[in-house]
Amino acid sequence: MHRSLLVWSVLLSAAALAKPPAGGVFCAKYPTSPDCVGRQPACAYCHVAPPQRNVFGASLEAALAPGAPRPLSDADFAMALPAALMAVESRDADGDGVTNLLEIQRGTQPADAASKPVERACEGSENPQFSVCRYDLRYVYKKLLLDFCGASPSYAQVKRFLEWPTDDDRRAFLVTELDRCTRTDFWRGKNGQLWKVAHPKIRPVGSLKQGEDPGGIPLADYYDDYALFVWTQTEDRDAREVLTADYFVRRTANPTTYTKVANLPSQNVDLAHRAGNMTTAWALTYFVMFTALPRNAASQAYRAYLGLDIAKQEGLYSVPNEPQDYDAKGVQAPACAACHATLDPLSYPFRNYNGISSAMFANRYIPNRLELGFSTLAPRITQTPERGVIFGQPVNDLREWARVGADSDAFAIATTTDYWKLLIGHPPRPEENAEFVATWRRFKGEHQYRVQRLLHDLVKTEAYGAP
Amino acid sequence: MRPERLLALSSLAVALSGCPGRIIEPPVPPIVVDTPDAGSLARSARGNLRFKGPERLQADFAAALELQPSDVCTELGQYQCATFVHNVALGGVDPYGPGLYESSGITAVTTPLVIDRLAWSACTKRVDLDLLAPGLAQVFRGVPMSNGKLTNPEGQEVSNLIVDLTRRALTRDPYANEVTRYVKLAKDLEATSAQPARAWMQSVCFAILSSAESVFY
Repeated sequence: MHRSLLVWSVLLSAAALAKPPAGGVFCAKYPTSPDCVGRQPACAYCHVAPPQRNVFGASLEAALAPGAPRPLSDADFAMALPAALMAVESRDADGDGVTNLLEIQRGTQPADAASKPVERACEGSENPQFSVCRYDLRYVYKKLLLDFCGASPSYAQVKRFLEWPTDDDRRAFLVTELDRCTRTDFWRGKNGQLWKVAHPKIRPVGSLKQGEDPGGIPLADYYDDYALFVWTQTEDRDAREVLTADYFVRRTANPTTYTKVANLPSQNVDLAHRAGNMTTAWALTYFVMFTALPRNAASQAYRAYLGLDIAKQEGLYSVPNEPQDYDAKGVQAPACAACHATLDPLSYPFRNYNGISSAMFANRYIPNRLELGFSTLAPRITQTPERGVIFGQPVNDLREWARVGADSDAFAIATTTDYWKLLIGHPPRPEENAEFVATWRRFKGEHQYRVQRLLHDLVKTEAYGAP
Repeated sequence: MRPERLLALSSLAVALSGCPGRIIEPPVPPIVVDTPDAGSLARSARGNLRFKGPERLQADFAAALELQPSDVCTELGQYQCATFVHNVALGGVDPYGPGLYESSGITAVTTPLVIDRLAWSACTKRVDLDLLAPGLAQVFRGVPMSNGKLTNPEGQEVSNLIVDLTRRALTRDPYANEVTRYVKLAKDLEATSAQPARAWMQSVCFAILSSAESVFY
């Protein structure tokens, strides 16, 4: 009874959310696994690249409905997977000396011998510089100034810091220092730390730059994208507006200031169709370019702001009867459909956003864009709907897409991961998972998506402050 | 203190220094801490050292030696070492041209060479400036010299300078064995260098600035 309830619950959710249902079944069986808190395991958990299996997937395959004819239907697969997982729990697929079950429970990869739980023990006597086994305020002071201000404190500053009467005084001082440093150009100025966080999202190309620092073929000004990004990540502002903003931000230098404005001469999309950095002149120029169905724009936004890279089989929420292949690119081939059943419905809301074109039509929302400019591309191209699907949830247009994306766990996890990597130096490790999960949940809940509060939270973690 | 008394004392200090417009600060208190036993030090469970990268290295070297960041190191006298020429080798990004949007996250085979380049450039610049105008010296000051040699390598002034340099670059006091080592270096250089005092200042500065403790955090 319990198992059938489990499978049906997964299948029902899979109808709306996921197909194939492996990630959902896995997480129904191991709901407390770090790979299931706010996310699901990617295909790479069991596959090198589907259908080729890694060592863990291969051991599962042998235990999966033995003797049943292949291929299994989704329902048969979902029914059989929990028993197969249980059958291999006590094995050690990657030979790293840790059972598959323990790796699942601790969030390490059962198919990767280099990934296994790390046991920490404090050894040795006192260290005159740091308390290496616990949060160390002196260490944090120096690190905080380097991370946020870009330079170490002086000897005199460290002495003054240590002279505060209590640790509470020192903690209060760190709060003010963090706030001071995040107002510096090192943090928020041109090419500062926040710009570095934004580079992989905006993906600038100097030769195409318009405006300040123009390139040889000036097409769009991506400094507007950086300005909006920094605006949303500073002060008491909602970081989700990087996806949902219907305004722009102007940057001035010496000292750097950012000002919210209703319009900019370098931006063309009308107020009713703006969706933050997904619809700027640069995003449309570079990610839409000349394409009818801008899959690249959708996959880049999914990767950059929601942390899900479809090329790595992450964030696959297959939509039934998709892909339709309206632009006749052959994406219904089995090798393509696994990803395009998610990607194409993600892309439909971009259908009316035009990229590179004559000045009159470039980088703007054009109703019936496909009918006006691409009608001869493929027989069914004009049937491409504007209605799409993200995370299994239907959306009418890109602004709804942005709203669902920005409100998702994926956005909170991706944003927290950005700053975790920036400040701690690596993505959250399995042994840091509990702190990481608590941090992104507070960012989403208590902190209401304010990055400034997230930063204060991050520097209080053991991962940041224990040398 | 009344303002006129402060002004008088300041004037006296300026007169004694022989350097118009600059007041010589009192000597650095000679604080040297016991050398820890490396074998018994607590071992970090996380081992999460981070490389400072181009901007932080340049800023810290500049602050330690009281240079402008742009004066720390240039190639051909005009191209910034840290933020332009060797930026990527130091873990920086180069997004607008080659599309290097994220740092590699690891130090490259050339990274130590570039760190040495930066540290040596900054140290020689500071030493040159301070020896050229001793009255205006910012870092390498207060050490008696004659004919290009330290008058007394084992003197208190030399120890004071080691303390000051360590505090500037590593924000801590030196260990006793560090002071011993740098004093010994001074004596060694007397036998091998044409300008032993200058060579010693450059070498101690370089050793401290290019140390793992200086470039990681």
